[in-house]
Amino acid sequence: MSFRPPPCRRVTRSGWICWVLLAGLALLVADLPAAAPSHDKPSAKVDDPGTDLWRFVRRRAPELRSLAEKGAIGPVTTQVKGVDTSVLINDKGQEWRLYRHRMLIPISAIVLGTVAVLLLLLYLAVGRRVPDPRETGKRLLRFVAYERTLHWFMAAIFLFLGVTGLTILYGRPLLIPLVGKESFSAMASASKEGHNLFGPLFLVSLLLFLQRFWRRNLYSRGDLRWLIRLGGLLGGDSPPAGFFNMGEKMLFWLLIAVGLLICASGLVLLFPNFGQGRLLMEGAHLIHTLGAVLLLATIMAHIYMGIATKGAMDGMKGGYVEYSWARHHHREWADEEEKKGRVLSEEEVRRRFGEARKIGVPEREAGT
Amino acid sequence: MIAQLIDGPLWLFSAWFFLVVALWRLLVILFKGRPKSLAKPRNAPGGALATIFRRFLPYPEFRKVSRVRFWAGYAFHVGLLALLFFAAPHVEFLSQRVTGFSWPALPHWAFEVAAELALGGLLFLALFRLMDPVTRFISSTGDHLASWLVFLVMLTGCFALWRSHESLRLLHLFLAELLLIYFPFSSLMHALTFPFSRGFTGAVYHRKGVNI
Repeated sequence: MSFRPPPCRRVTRSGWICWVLLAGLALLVADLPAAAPSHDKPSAKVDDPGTDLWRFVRRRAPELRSLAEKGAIGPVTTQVKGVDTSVLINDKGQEWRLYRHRMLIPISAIVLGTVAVLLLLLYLAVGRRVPDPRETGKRLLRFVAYERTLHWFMAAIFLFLGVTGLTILYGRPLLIPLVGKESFSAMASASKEGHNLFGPLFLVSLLLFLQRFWRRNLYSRGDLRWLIRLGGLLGGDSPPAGFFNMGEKMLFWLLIAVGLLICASGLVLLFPNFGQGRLLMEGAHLIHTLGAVLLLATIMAHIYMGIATKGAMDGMKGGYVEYSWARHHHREWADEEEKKGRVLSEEEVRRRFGEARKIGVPEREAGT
Repeated sequence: MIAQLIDGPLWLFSAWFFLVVALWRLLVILFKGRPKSLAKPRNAPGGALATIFRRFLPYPEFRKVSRVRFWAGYAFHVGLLALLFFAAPHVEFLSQRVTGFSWPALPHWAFEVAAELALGGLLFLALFRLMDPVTRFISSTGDHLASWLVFLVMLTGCFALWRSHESLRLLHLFLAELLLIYFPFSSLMHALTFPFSRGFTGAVYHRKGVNI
């Protein structure tokens, strides 16, 4: 078989036209400065209208507003009516996120951790304080069943909110390395639902607590003296106090004030459908977290006092306290109760409990 | 494996177990009858129905003392009833697996209110049971167990509200299944027996001339 060259084809008129057009296009492309990118020359800066658009979108106000007023652009409108619905990108949100991650979380963790460690060290160093080792065998009724229930009702809700709130706040850095992302996701979801659900219950418990105890927590004579002597830390013996001492009164009003603040800010976060903007929500978030950290630290100290002081928890468990404990911490109240003849012997208390157990008669509960 | 067990056989077992044992207990109560009263009747037969409804309110003597428990009790029971039969996930679950037909569910806000009432009421009552020496004395371990089990079932149900995690839903379902199995042996049976006990007491005392 010999090689045969392909036969020459005749170029048609349309073919000529195509060739001419292609050559012209090649010349045109070669002549364009931007067509061939040159690495040794700086590229020309071209204003991209998209950049301006997104910068405006990010900042929105006041640039857009002033431009709209000048008539340079149309007003920012959206068919969805509501707070911030015309905002596509919110720079403040990013700022808030960074603040939360870089400031709020580490600083609050340091505060809570420091308080916990200090209290633990104090407990290890001092141990359980025994104000008066003499057991007199006498008892005083300090809290009735309703008051004890109310206290533990609030305590249970507060602890639940504390655990779920801390899971939401510190979960990412602390729990993900321990339990993994998937488990943490479920934990965080459960914590959020539980926190949202129990938040309003905390408000209810707070109001019931206020209604029950506010009168006994009003300032009375001698409270300042108690405070100056720091409840006996300075000057030896414990200064006289009424039913509640100044420390307990301060805790009560702090709990009420900060608790209400936490509840109010929590409700702002819980119901975003009432027209509050992002800025208000961020402020509420900040107040909520700072208030919660303050209360958690305070309640840690409260728990420490309950555990570390012998006899302090008795009143909140069974209602009755040892007379010597009452005399040591609440001398004025103990003296008043003694004058009223309300000091009971241990046998009497046992007998009353025994009677209650036998025939179903409630314990003597003054004030119920 | 565990998920399939909870979602399938264990659910069927606990549901049937609850139905059969609870029904059996009810039949035993109904067929047991009551001893014949030898006392001369002071009233015509009746009084059962009135007592069933009258006992929805506390005795006047106890109204002030038991005020908080009364409201907490109603908050818990009404909230629980609303959650059990009208929470949207429950309506869906029951219609798909039990009844075969659906009914209107609570809107989300009403669900939240019902959950708050039920959880708050039960927590308060469960703590009062521990704190009050009388109720503590007359409560058995089973009573405490029943209270806290119901509380846990409700709590995990709220955790799983948005059904975002299968593990949370399964945890709730598992606890509900345990509750169904425990229910017929516990004081929770009062949910089914209260009309009989009230009616019986009312009828007996009415016959003796006492309206309670």
